[in-house]
Amino acid sequence: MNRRQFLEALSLSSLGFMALPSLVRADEEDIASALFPVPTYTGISGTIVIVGGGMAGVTLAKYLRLWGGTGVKVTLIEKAPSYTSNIMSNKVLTGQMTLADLNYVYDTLKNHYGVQVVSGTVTGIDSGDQTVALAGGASYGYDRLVLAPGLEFDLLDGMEDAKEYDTDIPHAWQAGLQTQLLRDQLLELKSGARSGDVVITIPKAPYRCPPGPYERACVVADWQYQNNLSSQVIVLDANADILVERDNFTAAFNGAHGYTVDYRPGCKDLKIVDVMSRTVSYVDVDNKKQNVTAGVLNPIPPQRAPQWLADAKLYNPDAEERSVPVNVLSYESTRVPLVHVIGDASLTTQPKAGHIGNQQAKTCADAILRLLQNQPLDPAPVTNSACYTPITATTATWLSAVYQYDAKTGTMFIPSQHNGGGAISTSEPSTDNYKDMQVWFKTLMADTFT
Amino acid sequence: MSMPKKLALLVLLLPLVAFEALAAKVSPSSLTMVPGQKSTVAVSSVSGSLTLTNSNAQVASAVLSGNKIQVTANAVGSANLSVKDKKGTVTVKVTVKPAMTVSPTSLTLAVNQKATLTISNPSGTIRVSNSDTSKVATSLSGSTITVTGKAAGTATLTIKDSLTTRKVPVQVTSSSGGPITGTTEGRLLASNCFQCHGTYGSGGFEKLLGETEAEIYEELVEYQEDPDFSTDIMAAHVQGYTDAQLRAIAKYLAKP
Ligand SMILES: Cc1cc2nc3c(=O)[nH]c(=O)nc-3n(C[C@H](O)[C@H](O)[C@H](O)COP(=O)(O)OP(=O)(O)OC[C@H]3O[C@@H](n4cnc5c(N)ncnc54)[C@H](O)[C@@H]3O)c2cc1C
Ligand code: HEC
Repeated sequence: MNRRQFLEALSLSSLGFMALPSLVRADEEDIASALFPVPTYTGISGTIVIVGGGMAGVTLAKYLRLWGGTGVKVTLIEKAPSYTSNIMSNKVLTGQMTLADLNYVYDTLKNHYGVQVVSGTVTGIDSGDQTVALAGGASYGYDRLVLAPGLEFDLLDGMEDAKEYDTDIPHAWQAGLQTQLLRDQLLELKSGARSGDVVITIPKAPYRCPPGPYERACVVADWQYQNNLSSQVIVLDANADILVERDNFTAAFNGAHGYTVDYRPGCKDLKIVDVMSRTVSYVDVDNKKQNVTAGVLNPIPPQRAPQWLADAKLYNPDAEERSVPVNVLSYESTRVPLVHVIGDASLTTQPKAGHIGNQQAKTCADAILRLLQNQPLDPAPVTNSACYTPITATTATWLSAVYQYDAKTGTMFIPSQHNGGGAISTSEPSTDNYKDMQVWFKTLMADTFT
Repeated sequence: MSMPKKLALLVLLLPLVAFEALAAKVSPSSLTMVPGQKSTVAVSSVSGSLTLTNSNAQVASAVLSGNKIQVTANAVGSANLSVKDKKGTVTVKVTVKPAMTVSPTSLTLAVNQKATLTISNPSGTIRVSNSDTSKVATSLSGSTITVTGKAAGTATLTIKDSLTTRKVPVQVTSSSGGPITGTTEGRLLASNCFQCHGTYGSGGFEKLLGETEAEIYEELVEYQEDPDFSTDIMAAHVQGYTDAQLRAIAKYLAKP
């Protein structure tokens, strides 16, 4: 009997309910103990350098070794000593998780998979010499180079220094100290040390994690409600409408969080008028200029692939979507040979998200192993995106999409058999989804870091 | 050098050599160590008070306490410890060598799978002991150890040379968690399931490893035909595949 039949059987019986929680996720225990060996000989050899130990880069390093064996030498260059997951980081804002809960280290990659993990910051690449340069002067040669550095954040109009994000107006769109700062500022709202509304600004798409800002608005609103705060969450969205899970978020903004969330779409020309007083201005849908002064200001800035990728001619920094065009069969740059880009820094029709970054990495690993053996690429790779979104402290929704390759356009698309070509999301937030969210997160992170 | 000068030197050295014979005794008279290691040198037949000079404290630190020298190796290199008493000076040569290392530092194997451990910088004879020979077998040849998984469980291998002891934990996974055949057919497609069902289907929402091809395929079809796919993420997910893809996935997952 599979789980569903089991559940159906249970719902027919009357007393099964109590037994459910312990039975449902019995297989969770298997996640941690499953470590598969790196094959000692596969006949494949090569030297692969990966820049960036986040969701995409770590998955790639693991699967290159797991599928390629010990002949594939993998070096991962990462600037931070450990990784802080963005996924679930909105739960740090509400105090349900801490940054320490989101910390992942590179030990398994080093000790089990035999990946050489180098601590350093890459400053540029020399695609002629096939080397990457690190701050401090070291350089590494590659047969193939894979860049997975995530994104950089623009300064918003009116700002003088990126440090203002670290000290006064955290974007917290790369989990870390800014996430903690934002949490601390919210606590000051609660203690009365500051007053006013929480203002979240959303940049024009594409940006990292399409549902993320709406999710943040929901959980912060719920936290305010749980803590009897009278302040609101004002969302200033540069987009004309909610981009993903529109029905779910509209329902949440009008229903559960109706009193707390003030959602304003179509906000143009966002400007930071004054950092200290947390005042922003924008032009609203009726073309009127508006000023808002926030108690807590959380501006999510426009994002781009890091500048050194533009310097390496991987993308045009003046183009609208400032990330790297790639061939989605291999994630090799369409401009610079032997350099691949995966994760948020790549430009594809898929969302910039961690779950899909993991799958892009597997596609890239498979492609590189074939290329090292002079074999043709898989002509029809499939990827999938899945996202669980907390709506309150106990409920969540989800979204799922599967992408197939379209040889005519050379892009990934959601096939028509999949909900007429669109993503699928649940019709209602639930506590079951919330529990599933925790299993999903644990399993995704284990498939990446373990 | 002219004859008279040579003679003069001899005359000068002779008394020293004579004193040397009477100077304190040290045991051992030389040390070979690895960084971090501590050792003691005993000094005997001492006349008067002892002083200790260390030619290279970066390599080894030495502390005189009573008639003992406590030596701690700090870094690779060599140092001379000179012990002087009333009658003369005696020298203990300390050589600090890189410690033996074993790579990798831990192993995970499937039953019947082999892996090798590589030993670097051994000193003297290498000895391998195995805490559970029913779980793993080992054989040493030169500076490589071949490890073979025998049964699911764990064992600790202790590898010793004359200076260093290293312990390598070995985990042997049951055959349901391996051996992985390494087939590439369907592998990339099926890796879409790993984010939610664990690497190779090893567990998460549901463990898929161990299910047969027919079981997996039937379940996938059942999910695909579910008209209520927006209430179950598995049913939603499976909408995106063609039938041929589902068959390839089921075939792979049954024997990854
Ligand atoms: C609040 C929030 C919630 C989210 N929720 C979800 C979710 O529910 N589901 C989902 O799928 N996704 C979610 N995401 C998105 C997800 O976190 C990102 O899409 C994902 O992390 C991108 O992976 P990446 O590997 O491209 O980049 P990252 O994970 O950011 O990793 C990049 C790595 O590269 C390193 N690096 C950068 N430059 C250099 C350099 N020059 N030299 C050396 N190292 C360098 C960085 O230190 C970093 O470790 C969320 C994001 C946010 C902000
Ligand atoms: C987004 C997460 C997700 C992904 C991706 C996913 N699954 Fe699932 N799967 C689930 C969940 C959740 C369940 C439990 C389903 C339920 O509640 O009915 C499940 C259940 C199953 C079951 C039933 C297991 C049983 O014994 O009852 C099978 C078989 C299965 N999945 C196969 C797959 C395959 C094959 C893939 C890849 C093509 C896949 N899944 C991808 C989430 C996922």
